[in-house]
Amino acid sequence: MDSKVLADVLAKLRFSESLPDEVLQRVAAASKLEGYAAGSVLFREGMQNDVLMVVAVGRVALDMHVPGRGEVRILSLGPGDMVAWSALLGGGRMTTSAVALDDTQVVAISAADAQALCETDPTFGYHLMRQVAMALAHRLVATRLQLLDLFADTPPAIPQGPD
Amino acid sequence: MSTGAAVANPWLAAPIEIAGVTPELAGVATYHMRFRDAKRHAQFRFRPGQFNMLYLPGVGEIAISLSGAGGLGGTWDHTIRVAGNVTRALADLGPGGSLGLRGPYGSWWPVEETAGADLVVVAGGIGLAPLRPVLDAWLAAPKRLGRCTLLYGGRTPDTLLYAKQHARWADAGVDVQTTVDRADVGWTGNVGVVPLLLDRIRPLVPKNTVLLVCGPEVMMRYAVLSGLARGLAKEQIWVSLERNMQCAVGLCGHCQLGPAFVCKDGPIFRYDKIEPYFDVEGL
Repeated sequence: MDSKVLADVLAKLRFSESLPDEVLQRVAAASKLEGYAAGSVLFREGMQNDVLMVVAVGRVALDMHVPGRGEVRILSLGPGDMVAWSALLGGGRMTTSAVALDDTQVVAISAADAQALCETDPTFGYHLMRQVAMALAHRLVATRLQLLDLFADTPPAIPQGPD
Repeated sequence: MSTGAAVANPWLAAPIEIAGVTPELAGVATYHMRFRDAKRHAQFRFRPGQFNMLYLPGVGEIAISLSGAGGLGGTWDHTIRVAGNVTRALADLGPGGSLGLRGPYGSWWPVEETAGADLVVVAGGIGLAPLRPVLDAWLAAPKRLGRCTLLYGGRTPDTLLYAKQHARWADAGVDVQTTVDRADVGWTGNVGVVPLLLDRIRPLVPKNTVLLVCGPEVMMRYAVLSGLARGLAKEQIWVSLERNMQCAVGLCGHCQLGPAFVCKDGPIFRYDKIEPYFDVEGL
């Protein structure tokens, strides 16, 4: 897929819709579109992955393995959400497993290419890292809300009368 | 539609009975109610978002939102979670049980006022109950000009309220999206808090969208922020507030929130009207 088409795909996604066009074009030039069938694994927890992804179509679940409990589903992501930020910021060791819940397409950006662009072009680096930081901040707030366990209660059973 | 204004004496509870009970979740059931007086029953009307005061002699009185109407020969519904003495006593009554009612009271969701707009209904937990009449009204509208999206979050997949109706709503044209805070890998639905679903809606035309939010106040706060971030004006967002409502007619002051009485001026507020008091600790 040529970079113009990819730029069009990116421009419609929340992650990148506010990027300046010049930056968007450069991200697109360093990206490719990848497809994953429902149920397939994008990456596994603990593995090395050097690709930052943005979901374009479909949904992706993030799972963590907990000894004694097995896989625990932490979060699901949809179009416009970033996946595998550790590739760009964390040395590439994945902190979750990622599974396609639907037939899914992601825009995959080589972390090494993105890092090289950030090093050589501070304007590009500022805008890309700002988007990554905003996406992570958003996810942090959502995680806090999830931790609040707002719907928790221990309801007693309701006795049912005769109908 | 008439709001079914309360009887002249606002302190006088009319006798009603439980016509039936539909179990929903652990500790949650929908009670189908009717007046013992047939004439009064035939006259009863309410608007989506309004509430009744349910009175159990010797136990107490409690404000409960109306969650539907039309079942079991024209009854109206209250979906209630057992949470205290009154709700526990109500649960013990069962079908045929008698209690008293004052109402309906309070403001309502702007269903008629916003006809033609795209409705985005955001609910969390049992907060779906006061919004179900909105979905019913949208589904019953003879001509639907706008879209209707339901974004609903719960704790776990087995605590999603009205789960059997979700598919029916979807089949009838509502875009139903659910999410849960906790799930195992067997759950192929969404996991995460409900404001995330609002972030992802595409397309969303801000100037033609109305956001209706009901759930825990923290959830509502972030749903509102998501709505504002998506370009909605404060005047396009409505929230449902819950406070200690006792008199239901704005006299006792228990539910005062800034200059407003939640029982009389609410429980449904346009966000711009309540914003200064929405996020103030202790109010």
